[in-house]
Order: sequence, then C-alpha cells, then structure tokens
Amino acid sequence: MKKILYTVMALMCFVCCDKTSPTPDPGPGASPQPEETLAAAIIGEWHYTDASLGADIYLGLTENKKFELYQKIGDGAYHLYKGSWQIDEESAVLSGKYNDSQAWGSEYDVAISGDGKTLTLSPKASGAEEKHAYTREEIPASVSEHCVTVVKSEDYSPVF
Amino acid sequence: MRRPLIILLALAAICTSCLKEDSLKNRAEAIGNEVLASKLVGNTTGAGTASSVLVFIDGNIEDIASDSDERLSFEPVFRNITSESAVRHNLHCWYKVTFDDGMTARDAAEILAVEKSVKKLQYNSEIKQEKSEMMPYEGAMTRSGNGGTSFDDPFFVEQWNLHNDGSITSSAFAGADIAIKDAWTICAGSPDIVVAIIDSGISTIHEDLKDCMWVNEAEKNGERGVDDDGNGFIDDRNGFNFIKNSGSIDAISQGEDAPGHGTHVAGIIGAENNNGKGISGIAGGTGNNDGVRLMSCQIFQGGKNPTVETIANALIYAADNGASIASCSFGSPAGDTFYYDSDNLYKAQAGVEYDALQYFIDPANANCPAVGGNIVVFSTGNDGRNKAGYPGALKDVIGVAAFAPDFLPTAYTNFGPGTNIAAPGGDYYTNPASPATRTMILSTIPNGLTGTMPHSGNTQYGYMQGTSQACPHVSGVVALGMSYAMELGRKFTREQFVSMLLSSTNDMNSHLTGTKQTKDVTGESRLLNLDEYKGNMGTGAVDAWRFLMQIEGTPSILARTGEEIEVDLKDYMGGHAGELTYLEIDTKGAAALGITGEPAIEKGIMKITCTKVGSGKISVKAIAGGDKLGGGDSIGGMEFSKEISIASRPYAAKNGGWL
Repeated sequence: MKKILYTVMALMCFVCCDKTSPTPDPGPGASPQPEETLAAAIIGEWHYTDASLGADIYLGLTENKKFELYQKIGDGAYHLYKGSWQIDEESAVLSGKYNDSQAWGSEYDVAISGDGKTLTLSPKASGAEEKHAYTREEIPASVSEHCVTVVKSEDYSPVF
Repeated sequence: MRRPLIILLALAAICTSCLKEDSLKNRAEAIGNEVLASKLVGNTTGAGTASSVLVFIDGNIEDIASDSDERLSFEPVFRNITSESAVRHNLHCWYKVTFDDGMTARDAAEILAVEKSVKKLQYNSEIKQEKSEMMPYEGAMTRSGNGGTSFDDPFFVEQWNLHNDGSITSSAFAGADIAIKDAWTICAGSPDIVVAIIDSGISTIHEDLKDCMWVNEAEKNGERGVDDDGNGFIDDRNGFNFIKNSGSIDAISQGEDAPGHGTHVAGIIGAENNNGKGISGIAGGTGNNDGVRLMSCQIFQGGKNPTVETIANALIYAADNGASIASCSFGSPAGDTFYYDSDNLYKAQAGVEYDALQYFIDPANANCPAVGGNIVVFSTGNDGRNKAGYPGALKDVIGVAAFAPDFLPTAYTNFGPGTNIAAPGGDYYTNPASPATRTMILSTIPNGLTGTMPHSGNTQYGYMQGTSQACPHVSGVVALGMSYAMELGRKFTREQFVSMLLSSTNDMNSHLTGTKQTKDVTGESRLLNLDEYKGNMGTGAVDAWRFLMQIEGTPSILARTGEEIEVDLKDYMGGHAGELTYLEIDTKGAAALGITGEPAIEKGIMKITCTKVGSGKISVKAIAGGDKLGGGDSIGGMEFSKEISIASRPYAAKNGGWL
C-alpha cells in the first residue's frame, strides 16, 4: 500500500513539475521571459509626466511596430500623434518617425525594469543624461476618446 | 398753461454725430430745417409715418415737458433705469414723445429740435420683417434615426446642419456642418444659460420646446395682472411680447411676414434632445431637462411691425432678466448708405438701439459667470451683397453668413466686410435642377402652421432657410461654450471668449474656386463666382467641437530649441488662418524662449525660432471679417486674438511631437 502511494506521489510530482507545459501569457505586470526580445518587452501602454513642462504623456507601442502618442503640455485636450517605431536589440536604442515622415526629436536608450512595469527612455540628444521613466498603464478612455488628432494615420480620412 | 414755442431758424449747431459736413448739408437741404437736421438721427423716412419720436434729453425732463407744446406727451423709453450701467449708457436720457392726431412725427420733431436739452431726435420708425416662407416637413419619414448619436431624436438624420454625412443630397459635402456629434460627447448645454430669441414669439407649448423655456418663477407663481417681481413687466412668464406690451407670447399671428420664424430659430438653438421626439437642438441637453433656456423676446407680430424702441427694449429686458446671449435674426439691408454703411454712421444714427446694444454687452451686465460680458449674434442679411448689413456688421456683435449642404455660400447670403463667421443656413436650390426642402434647415414650428405647400407630415416641424437660420447656429454654439466653461469653472473675458469662437472654425476658402450654379429665392438662375467669397465668409465655418476644446484649454506647442518651427495657425486662429489680416504678433510673454527676430506669418504659417530651453506665450491678433477693423468710417471686422503657449526642448520633433 505504501509502495503504491509513493508511486502515485512520485507520478504527481512528475506531472506538477513538468517543464514542458506552455508558458502562460505574462500579462502587463509580469516579468519578461529571459528569451523575450526588448521589442516584445516594451510593447504595451505607458504613462509619463514631466512637471517642469506640465507634460502628460501616454504612449502605446504595438506589436506591428506602430505607436500612438497622446500628449498634453499645459492646458487643454490631449493631442494624438501616430507613427512607427523600431528598436536596435543590440544597442537597445529606440527610434521612430511620425506618419508625416518627421523623425522623432531624438533616439532613446531603452531600459526596462525587471518586473516590466517601468520603461526608461533616455534621449540620446541630451547625452542620455535625462532619464524619463514611463510606467505601464492603460491609456484611459477619457484620453483616447477625447483627443485632437495632429498627425494622422494612413487610414485617416479627414472631413475637410 | 404751457407757452407755445417759437420755432427759430438758427444756424445749425455743430453736429455731435459723426456725419460728414457735406452729408449734413445735404441732409439739411433735404429736410429743410437746419436745426432739425443737426439733431435728427436714424431713418428720416419716418417723418410722415412714425407714430412717435424718440428724443435724447440732456437735462431735466420735467422742465421740458412742462414747457413743451401741450400736444406732446413724454414717457421714458426704458423701464426701471436705476443701475450705474444704465446711466452710463444714457438709457435714462431716452424718451418717447407721442403727439396728437393731426400732427406728424416731423411736426413734433421740429418743435422738439429747438429745445437746447434735446440732443438727438429719432423717428420711431417701423422695421419690416423680411418675408420668409416655411416649407412643411413632408413627413414621409423615409429616413429617421439618431444618426449614431446617443440621443433618440428621430429627425436628427434630417439635420445635415448638425451632422452632414453627405447623404442629404447628391451634392452634399460630408462634414459641412457644425460638428455637433463630437461636441455632445463633452457637453450638450446647461439650464444656467439663457438665450434671448429676439424675434417673433416662440411656441411655448411645442412638444420639443415646452420644457426648454426660460421661466420667470416669480411671475409663474404670482398673480395675474401683477408685476410680481417688480421688473417693470407684467406676467412675463417666458419672456415678453414687446408689440402687444404683454406677457402673452404669440407664436402665430395673422399677417406675419415670416410665420413661425421665432419658433424655428429657437428650435435650432435649444430644442430638447433625447426625448424621442422631433429634432435635436444644439444646446438642448441630454434628455434630463438640462438644456439651455430659451427666453422669448417677441418683437414681431402679424399686422404690426417693431420700432427701433421695441428692439432696444427687448435688449434691455434680456440683459436685466438673465440672458447671456441675444440671438437676433434681423437687420437692415446691406450696403445701403441710408441704412448705415459704417460703424461710425451706425453709432451716430442708430441712437437708442446702439445704446441698448452697448448695455447688453457691458461687462457690468454679464449673466454667465464664466464670461465677462453677454454676447450678441446677428445674421448678416439675405441681400446677396458683398458686405454685411447692420447691426450684424457692427464690430461689437457677431455677424453670421450662411452656407448650404454643399459647403458653398448660398446665393442669398451677405458676405465680406462685417461678416465674422459662417454657419449652415440652408438652400432649397442646392441642386437647382431638383430643388428640395431637405436641403433647407429643419426645425420646430408652431403647431398648425402649414405654410403654403400641401402638407402631409408632422405639423410641428418645418423647413426654413436664410442667414436667419445661420445666426442661431452660432448662438447655439456660444450657448454650448458658456455651458462648458461653467462646468469646468473656467473664466474668460468677453474678448477672449469671442476670440476662441472665431478661431474655432473649419476652412471654407479651399472650396471656393470656380463657380456655383444655383437660383436665388425668387427662382432666378444665379451663377456665383466663388472667388468673390474666398476670404469673405468670416473666419470660416463654426465648429462646436473645436470651440469646446479651446474652452478646455489649448496645449502648448513643443518646439525644438535652436531650430525654426512652423506653427500652423489654423489650429489657433481658425480654418481661414491663411487668409486673415494679422495685426500684431506680441512676443513679450515669450522672453524666456529667446525668440530671435520678428516672427513672420505667411499663408497662415508662423515661423519662429526659440534659442533657449523654457516656456512662454506669444499673442497673435487678427481681423475677423474683412481686412480692416470696424468701428470707423467703413464696415470692418472684429479684432480677435489668441495666446499660443510654447515650450522649447532641445530634442522635440519638428512637428511638435514629444518623442
């Protein structure tokens, strides 16, 4: 009887410790898996504020290398900019351009926290001395549904 | 016993008005009385027909009245004139003089003219309302629905003026509207905002208006025949009928030149939203009894026309009883030298109406806590002339021109100098080969008003067109803006608020090329040269959404330090920024940015270079409605200005993007 029990317990342990089971989706707050690229790690929605300029920034980076940038500097509604981004995995440098073909004002050194909740962008144009810490946060509907589009996406059909 | 006056023929005193010397001479010759000519203002054709004369007295009325011809009777034009503001605008100086049978207004005027303390005389002439036909809503209801809004007003889909998806007619231009759908996601009105409709009476029992009326609670709960609130008006429950001198508002009356006009205008501004009935109103609320309130200041009634005194009294009443906005779909013909062709001439000649207008917009009489002065909106007129008619052309009021569903000017609209902004006015002949009422403006009408067309549909809604309809679109947007400003707790001066309105527009100029074949209101073919309208439809087509965004606040521009940036002024000065006349670019508030040289504006693009990291503000001033400012000897536009906040960083994108 004990032998049967030990066998069952061993089998259960084997099942529980099966390393070949699929890895669950980490979700927004989970730690990136070791084999995950930097590009995958930064995908999502981020929030940054700069009190000195009164800036409130929401940044959405998508899997297909598109971005939506909601910015409010001072008063008023958020302004939406759209475009595309790319990242150099080796040098960990993020760059991009807007849909009106204007390049970003700077490339950025990228660092992501171990828990995946903080994305630090350091503008190389400032000698990477500044560090802008974005926190992972869903873009509120009050921002995305209540903004003024500045740079339009390719599929935007302006009324005028 | 009053002494009879001896009429002396004396050399004309120096005219205190701004009439040119030769005009005065011509006038004196025409009038045949130099003393009278020196003091007479306004429409002189009333000499034989006016039933009274208005006089401006700088002195003691008792002395004049007691010494005057006993055939004359004096009464103050305005009631309850006690405030400092009323005295400052000389309202206490205006008297109405009636005279015995057998006399004419000219006779009375000649007697009064010799009195030293009589400084101005004005024949209390009648003003005729322009004829306007209501076309009934045919009610076939081939289309109904809320057009994708969250409101359930079934006729919204017919209101291309609020939301134009291009389907109302084959030549319709999608977007040729006031962008109300987006605006309503933020604000749909407030019952704290009162709009005075100075027009024919509003149907206070209409299904879509009855719960939107301004109510004088003291009179509503008071005693019939008694001035319960002591404002000088008896039984003024929802406004006042200045023709009948009664609190009874008549929405329909026999012999009206534009039946149902006031009700139609009122519906555009504030018909109740989301009540499962009829149309949507621009500031008609969300269905929770939360739309703006409509005050009926009735100045038109069948068989009787208003006088200048009627209109002046309506403006004073509106200001004194809580209105923040006066919507005025009337005026004098455009361009006629007799009917004022400059601000100076209007000021000199309009007399009592001008003083009343100034009283209404005086900051001391502001009724909306968020804006430091009430707003007056006028239609520019339907003469098809290249200048606005007065008072719409006056620089102190907003003059509105009209466009059709194709986003092009209508044949009837006045445009050019004095026109500050454009809005939907409707045009039966948008497609001249197949005219349709649906391309006019659908709104509320008094029940039972069937017009001249065979009628088969809903009897409470009908179509009209005109700058009369364009005007309340802007009044409604102003009402929305005031509602939102109050909700946010923002405060603006009147000038700031008007500047934001005039810069909340969409570009029409880029569409104004070539010609447009249409017909005028008589059915005569017209070929409009659209180049004549370019730059002459004010600052563009009013956009309610942009206006609310401005009230919320305008974000700073992000500039790259050391590099020239191009600021598209359309975002700040409206859709016609490329064609405006700019007066000034003030960079004093942007010293921290180290802006080098004089910023230049070319075709609506302002180029500046910030040499330092920091933030500051630039103020830009321009003219809305012409290439010169009004207020002088010619019709001109209104000055408006915007502050543009700029933040400068060394690595901002050239298009202002943060990254």
